[in-house]
Amino acid sequence: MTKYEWEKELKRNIHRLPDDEIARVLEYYNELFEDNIERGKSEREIVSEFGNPSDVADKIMSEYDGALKDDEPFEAPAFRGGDKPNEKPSVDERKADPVFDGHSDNVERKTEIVQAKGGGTDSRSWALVAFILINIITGFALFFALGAVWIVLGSLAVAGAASTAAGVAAFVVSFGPIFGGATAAGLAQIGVSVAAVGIGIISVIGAVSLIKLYAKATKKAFSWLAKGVTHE
Amino acid sequence: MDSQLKKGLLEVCVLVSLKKEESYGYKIISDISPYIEVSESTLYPILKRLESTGCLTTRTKEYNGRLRKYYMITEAGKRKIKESMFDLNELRRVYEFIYREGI
Repeated sequence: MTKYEWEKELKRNIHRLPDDEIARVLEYYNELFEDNIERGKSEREIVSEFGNPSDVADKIMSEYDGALKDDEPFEAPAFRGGDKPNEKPSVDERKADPVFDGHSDNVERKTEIVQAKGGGTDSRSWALVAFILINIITGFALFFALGAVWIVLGSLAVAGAASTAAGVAAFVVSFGPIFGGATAAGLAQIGVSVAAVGIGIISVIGAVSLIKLYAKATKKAFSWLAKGVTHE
Repeated sequence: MDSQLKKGLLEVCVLVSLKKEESYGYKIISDISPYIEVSESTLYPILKRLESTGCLTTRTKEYNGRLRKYYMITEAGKRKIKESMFDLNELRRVYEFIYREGI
């Protein structure tokens, strides 16, 4: 295990500590690492002496008695220029690099922490953005589909009411021809208007009961969806 | 060794190692490890607790182009050494009793 891998694993397991506490832990191990390197030990040797990073993290977490951050999933630090963790230069190479002294390493590490916190523009963030977009698009489609059913049921109810009203009006008006002499036409009109009232009443009752049913189903569906979201 | 007892002893060992002069992580470990088993991960909480109880203070100094944290004992830390010597006297009597009668 390289020092970078060790440190990454440690960070992954102590990410719920406050940032200043994480920085303090990393500074402590970084200093010990540099002191051991200066006494001629190898990177691998030192890291194995430090012990398993998750055990070290467990110890730190169990000794820590302050407040912890919320249990948000750890986001891996963004790699600069497509570096993969195992392509990170070894310490000996870094030592050869004059810019790469202990101090700059310190600064670099801090920016890594900030990037990890902010999320950066790594693939995870893009996946999150895509997820949200897809949710918005499908959400709108679903919303419109649900809305269309409401409109259909609503217009059915209104049409039924209109038919009933028209039937009643026609019924009243049809007395004109009856008393005017055209009895047959008047009676036919009465028949039609009574039928219109009947159809109107049936469609209003049907639409209202359908609306009630639909509202119930929608409510159930939404509470089921909400449960799913909170469980996540 | 019993972990509470060991923690207490480690605290005193660290303080004793700082009595002459300020020290840093690596040096503390090499100074006390001949006497008591100590690792990097056990030292960290000990140093933290000693600092929070006011037994030591720290300062960061540049060394070899990098930063190193130095630990310095305080008056409270010195008092703690004296107190624990008192406790250790009692412990020695227990130790002698166990060895005399237990074998």
